[in-house]
Amino acid sequence: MNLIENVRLFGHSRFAIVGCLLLVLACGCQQEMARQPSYRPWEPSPFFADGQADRPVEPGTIARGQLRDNRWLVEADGARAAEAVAVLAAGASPLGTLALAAVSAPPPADSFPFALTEDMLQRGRLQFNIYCAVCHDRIGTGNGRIVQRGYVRPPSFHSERLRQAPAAHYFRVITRGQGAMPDYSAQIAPADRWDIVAYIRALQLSQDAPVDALPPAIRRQLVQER
Amino acid sequence: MPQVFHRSFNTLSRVSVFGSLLFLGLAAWAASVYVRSSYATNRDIARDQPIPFSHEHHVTGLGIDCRYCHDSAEKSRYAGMPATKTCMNCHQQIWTGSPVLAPLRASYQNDVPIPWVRVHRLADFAYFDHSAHVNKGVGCVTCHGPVDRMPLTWQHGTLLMSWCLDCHRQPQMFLRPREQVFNMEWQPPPDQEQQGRQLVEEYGVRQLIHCSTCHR
Repeated sequence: MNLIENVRLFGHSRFAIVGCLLLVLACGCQQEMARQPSYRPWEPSPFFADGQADRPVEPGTIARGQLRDNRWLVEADGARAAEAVAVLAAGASPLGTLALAAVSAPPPADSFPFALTEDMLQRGRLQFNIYCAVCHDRIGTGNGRIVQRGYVRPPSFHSERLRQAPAAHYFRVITRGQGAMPDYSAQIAPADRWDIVAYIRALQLSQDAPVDALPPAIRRQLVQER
Repeated sequence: MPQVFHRSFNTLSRVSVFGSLLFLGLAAWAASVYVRSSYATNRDIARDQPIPFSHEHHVTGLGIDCRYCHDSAEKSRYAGMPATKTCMNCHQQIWTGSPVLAPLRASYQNDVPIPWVRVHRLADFAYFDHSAHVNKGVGCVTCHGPVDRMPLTWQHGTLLMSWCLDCHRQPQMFLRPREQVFNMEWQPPPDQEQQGRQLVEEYGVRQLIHCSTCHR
């Protein structure tokens, strides 16, 4: 063994050592960080009796911030708030019952618990077309795609009875369901329900507007077409 | 001193040196192909479900909006799955006796969720907020692909970090107006880059590419 061979052997073993160290890196290839034992929403769990990681919410729970989200309770003036509270109580929500204890008021006539704006109508149209039009169709005659597939046909919004129905009626039906219609309380937030009601009013007007109520330019156009 | 090694060892040593380099290169290439393959990422693999739910039928056939069922997609960090009650809104009257929907009825009657097979699952070390993306003008199609044409649902993107960064590096190339987010037919205009920059400005979109944006 001369010096040169010793150096060469040492070089080989160094190569082997580096190689082994590189192999250690392969430990990083496992996915334990990507699949941690903590639960994500909707995951199953063998720990709880019902097999779900999500725990049910206690009945009557009001989420943090939920009260303030109800703008007709927070921002509306006293008289309007009272109306809204009565409507909410009619909807049998725990929030309504809670608020009713604080304010007692006569049941609402045909009024909205807040002043309507164009934005609300736009929001109402959006929500109506998502959740309602599948059955009620986009103008509210009650001939949507799902009805065409065999669902019970809902009444048209353009009947005299429904034109006369107070706004709170629609809010209640969306919240609790009626007849063949299921409730939408889980899918549509309370504020959005009011926006939808406002849009239903706009739809009703669209099918029942007297010619005199049209803007002059459009009235002229209509007369010419006739 | 006699020769220890035969002359052929010269060739052998060259082959082993270059061969090992070649092997390492090939191994690295194979690994990079593997991590991008649908075997590793689950991309483009339609998953069998307890009920063979067809987005194609419900979206294209019936015209139901994404949000009718995925009502928390624009409100919550998690896009959410519709409750059994949402299915029953229609199926209490439609296809009531269908054997295909038996698991749905069982779920509703026994108050037990349907064990849907998850199609999109991000790694647990990546933070993700679904509503933030929807509200900043990322369309459903951008990440989920043509769901309206999927009979059974599959994962459209790779969900690799590079896939996220493609958009995070240059959001202007992918954003669309908010009112078009749920439109499955929307196509980017020819001047997408310019319009995208306006949207970035208008929606206050930042170029979030810092590690701790997602790995927090």
